[in-house]
Amino acid sequence: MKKPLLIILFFLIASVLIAYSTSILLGEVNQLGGTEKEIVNKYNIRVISISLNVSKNIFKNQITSIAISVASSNPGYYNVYATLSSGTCSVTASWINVYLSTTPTPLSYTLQSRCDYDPPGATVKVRGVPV
Amino acid sequence: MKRGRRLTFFLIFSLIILFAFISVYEAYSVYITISTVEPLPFRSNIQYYFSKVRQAASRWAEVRGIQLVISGSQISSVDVTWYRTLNQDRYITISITLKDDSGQVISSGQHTDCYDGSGLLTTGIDLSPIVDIDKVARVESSLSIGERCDLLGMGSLDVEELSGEEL
Repeated sequence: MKKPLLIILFFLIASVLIAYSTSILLGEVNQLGGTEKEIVNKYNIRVISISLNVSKNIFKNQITSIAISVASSNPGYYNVYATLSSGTCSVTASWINVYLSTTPTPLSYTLQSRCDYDPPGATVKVRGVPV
Repeated sequence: MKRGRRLTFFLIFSLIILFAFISVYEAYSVYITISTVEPLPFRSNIQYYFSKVRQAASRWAEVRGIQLVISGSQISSVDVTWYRTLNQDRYITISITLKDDSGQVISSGQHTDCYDGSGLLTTGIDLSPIVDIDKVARVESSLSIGERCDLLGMGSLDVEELSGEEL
């Protein structure tokens, strides 16, 4: 009585496991919620333009503010950071909880401590992190 | 015999409980809404490089603005806003290079023209090939001040050039 019952139970479990694994295989599960066949959202930060404002139209000038135009391929709220590096000077501007869509959003920042704009030039790195 | 039945019953009951738990967790893992998963970064940052050059105290130029001209997500050209101070006419070349994550050049373009005097200008530069903005990791600008225009048959010789103004 005990042995046949256990054998039946074993086959029952085995058949359920085989059915489940087959359904996963056929469903091409490759991520969480895979059976829904939805793709996990991925975002691209798109920086359309950056401009530097300088103190004077002379060679030994300083960068006083930056203006950027930024968008995202995945609309939503982001924290946006722009790091200006020029020579030894480095300043990070941040904009918190900014709604970004595929349409560019203008953002500007006035530097509290100005950076010299010397050759060979300056780098601005813009980063966006979803809120 | 009675003990055997109890054991079997306990075994089956345990398996039912176990399967109930597995079913709940399975259902949760399968039906978890994808909206609860935060967006993952494909590209979370872009770098822009602004060039500044000087040949002499009164002969220098700097990039002050770069704007990508996009149609959809395709970049076809770039508008570069730059300032120059030139005591005489000079050929100036403005170059734009777009690079991907590995630092490879994926598109570029340049414009050379004869300029004189001082002031802010915006120059449009066509890029080749047209690229998707999502592939661009770094936008680099480059300025170079070349020979006098009249040396190549344009403009006129400026006496100030002969006096020399190098710092």
